[in-house]
Amino acid sequence: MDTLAMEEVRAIARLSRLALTEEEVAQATSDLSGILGHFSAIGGIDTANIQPADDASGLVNVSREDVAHPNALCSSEDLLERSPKIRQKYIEVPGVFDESSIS
Amino acid sequence: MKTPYTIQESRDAITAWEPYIHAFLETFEEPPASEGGVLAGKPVAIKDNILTKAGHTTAGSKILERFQSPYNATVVEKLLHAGAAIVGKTNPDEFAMGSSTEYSAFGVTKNPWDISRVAGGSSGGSAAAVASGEAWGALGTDTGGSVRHPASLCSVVGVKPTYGRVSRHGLISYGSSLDQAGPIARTVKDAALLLEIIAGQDPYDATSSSLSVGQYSKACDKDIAGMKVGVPEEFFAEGIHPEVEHLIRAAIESLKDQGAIVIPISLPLTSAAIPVYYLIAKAEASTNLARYDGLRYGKIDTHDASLLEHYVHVRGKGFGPEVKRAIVMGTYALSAGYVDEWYKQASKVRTLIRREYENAFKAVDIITGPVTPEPAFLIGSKMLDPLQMYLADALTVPVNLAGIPAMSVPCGFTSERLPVGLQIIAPHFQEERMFAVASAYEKQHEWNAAFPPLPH
Repeated sequence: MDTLAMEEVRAIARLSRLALTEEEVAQATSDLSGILGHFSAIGGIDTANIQPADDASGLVNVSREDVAHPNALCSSEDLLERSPKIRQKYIEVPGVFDESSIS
Repeated sequence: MKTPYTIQESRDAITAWEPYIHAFLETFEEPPASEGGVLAGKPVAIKDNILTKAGHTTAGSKILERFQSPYNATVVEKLLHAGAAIVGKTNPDEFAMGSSTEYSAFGVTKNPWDISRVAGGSSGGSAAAVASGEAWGALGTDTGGSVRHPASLCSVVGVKPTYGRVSRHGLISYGSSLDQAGPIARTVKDAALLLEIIAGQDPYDATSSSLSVGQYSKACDKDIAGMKVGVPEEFFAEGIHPEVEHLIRAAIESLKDQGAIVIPISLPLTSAAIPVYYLIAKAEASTNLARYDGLRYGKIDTHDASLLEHYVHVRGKGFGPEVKRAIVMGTYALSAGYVDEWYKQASKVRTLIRREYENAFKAVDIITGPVTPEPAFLIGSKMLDPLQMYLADALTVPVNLAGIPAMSVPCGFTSERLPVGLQIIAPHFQEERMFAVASAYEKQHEWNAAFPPLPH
């Protein structure tokens, strides 16, 4: 199991929409290499024919009628109030395709 | 110093203690409360990663600094319905990631027993509030030990219910297959009462169980003669503080006085639990934290030209170092090319850990041991190496991985007057057993009669 390289950390930061300074990249690379080095021991545990533990609750197909309950918890106005810029019933955001100063 | 039963008593204690311990991020002048109910106005504190309409819910993070929730978490609704007076929101590690509240964006919570030391985490604020007499009871959340660890370090009772016993609706998610809200209180019976109030199926949480809520208060009076108590040798591995070991072994011995039968057992996968837990928890967290975009949970001002720039900047500035580390680790563990060897392998070992506990419970009724290898550590002492911080959870994380219930009950103090808690672990949905043993121990020893002196 290889541990992390700085270029991988930069790539992951881009994927997870996280700005990291060069210092933070270096620190994260060092911290995580150490941690993952320690964690790699689980690779030696025999898990042939073992299912992943995907079912934390043991419940299956919990469903309900597809009926709306408007304002059950709060109104849509309540939710929109938590946004910096709204226009009518929409959250206004910077353009997806606009020119930006960073890549 | 006494247990506060009224809002005024709570207010007085908050005035006296907050300058020293910083347990609260916010206190409410007019605590939201309802009439009547079994709690009848008792002051309760809520960890700040649980949504309340009152005040703010920040999860200890700058990215949610201005967030005010439009609705209450189910557990909060249930407490209000039972007559609790919610006096404030307590300090957590940011997004519940940590074991000391040192990762909170708003300062550390200090241990009321020694303010140069941590209160534990991530529910450090809640534990410190109860230990100091600021609150009668509190809610925390436990993903890898975050209720039991601070309870142990602060000499109060802390409970992590079975996964699915308590609704997660309104909890700010960290690890969705691991998170549970749990009560913190001064006595086992108070904790049992709080669990009865907050437990139960919730239509808003599809992972909540339809099993009827147990009679936890009644279970506190049950006789434990004949109960088989398993003691895993791996819980006393190297690294355990000798005084912790001494106090825990003495506590287990004393259970024999009440007729319990102590049986040594072995849980060989204990040493695998930290890697398995952190890989799964951080992977789940990286997904759960993807929603924080500076657009929906509070007005964060940015002046970015593009949406991508906005996301990257807001998240870069809004998240602290441990959360960023978590997102990077979690994303890595899930990424193509690595997911099989890290995340899937961890998940398979998790199945093995669950089986290990299931098998152990065929031979014993209860498993017991320390909550954590050492008592409250000095503030700052574990900040240089994140792995050292993770190891504080070595004995609590297996419980979350297996989904079983566990609690911490005070079992004494070290020679430096630092609290130690005894961990009591039960099979799925057998919380009654856990409360019976904890209560029997508490009646014999009454460590909870001790209050920390106000620092000067």
